[in-house]
Amino acid sequence: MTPGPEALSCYTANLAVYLASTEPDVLERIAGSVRLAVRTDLGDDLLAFSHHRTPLDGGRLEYRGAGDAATALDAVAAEIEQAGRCLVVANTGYLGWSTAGLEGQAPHLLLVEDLRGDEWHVVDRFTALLPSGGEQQPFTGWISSATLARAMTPIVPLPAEQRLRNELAFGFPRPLPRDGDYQWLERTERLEPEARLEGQWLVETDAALELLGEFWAGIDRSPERVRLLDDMWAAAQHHVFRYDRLLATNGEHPALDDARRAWRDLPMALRFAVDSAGRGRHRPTLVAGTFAALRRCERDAASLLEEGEPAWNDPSRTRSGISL
Amino acid sequence: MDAVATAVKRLVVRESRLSIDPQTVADDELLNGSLLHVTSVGFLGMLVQLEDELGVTLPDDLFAGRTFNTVGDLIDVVASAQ
Repeated sequence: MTPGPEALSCYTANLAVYLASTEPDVLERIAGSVRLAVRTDLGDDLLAFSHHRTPLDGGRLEYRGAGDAATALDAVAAEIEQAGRCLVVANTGYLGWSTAGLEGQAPHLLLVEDLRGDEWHVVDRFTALLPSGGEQQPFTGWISSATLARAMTPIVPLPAEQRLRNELAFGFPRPLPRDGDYQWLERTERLEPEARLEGQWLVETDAALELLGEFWAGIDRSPERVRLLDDMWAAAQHHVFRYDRLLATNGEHPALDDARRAWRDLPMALRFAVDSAGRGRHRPTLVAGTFAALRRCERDAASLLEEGEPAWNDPSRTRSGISL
Repeated sequence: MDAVATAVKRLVVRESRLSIDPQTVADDELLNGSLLHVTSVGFLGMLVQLEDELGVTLPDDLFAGRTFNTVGDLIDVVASAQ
């Protein structure tokens, strides 16, 4: 079965729904955009991740902020009037359909589609198991202004890794409003800007995975690295989505199936390694083996997609979007 | 039933929030099927608990090319670590 937006991450799931109203094949474009790029010059054991090789929004969405909920909701209403819908930056700790709780607060793009009196029609297609063992379920329905304002409660202070995720949500950096603001995204009419990544980045998947293998092998020495587990989960989620769509569209192939499985198993292996390190059982071999297997699978899949076996070089398939 | 199978079945029943006798769970019961409902997060928690309870260290190639579909799959990997 071809996966839908619910198979994407907490940023891209509802962005995909937002874009689909004017771009019916947006899921194919998102699948084709998936990559893993890692910024390495931030220091403090911090890395940034870019999951898309082209700006998912075409460079046309800009963050906006307001210091109070009433001003923010007025602006969201104006954006719905202008653009027909609006993505707001929600806080998972305040979503009624998530069990994240205040301990699990994280930014989350929520789609608001309509306003009727004091009620807002919201769409949240994202679904996931949470590290706490709870779940975030999809939700579509009407909520009050008070509930929407509560869902948009700013995270203060915003952790550095969450700020980076917001900045790079569409694959390339976007300026953010000040911390503590209620935030949403507005559509602009300006031309697509040049897509550039500032700083030092590893943009080749194999090089990025090599670095990440070394990074996670050191979890026993730097336990604070656990804060980047969600980035690994997102990378895995996006790559599984990409391979799922390739396989669903073009038929089974062992190399792509192996790559899909390797990405699918990555978050679980890393979580187990992190949990083990926290209990004094360092597992560098597990981490090294996991990344070695993933790199091997990625290389095989890339060879297939770039060079192609005859069945994968069929021009009609290329037209349908498998040429990435 | 040996200690590994007993511990695994007790944990999968608890993780699935069931009130049944763990001994009635078959080895070929799916971890996520009509009876049991073990999530990936719950599965990881069980691995940690099994290491602690049974005093074993699960192998570092635990996830390499291995699929955990049934209760028996989990019993096998824990038993092999003893």
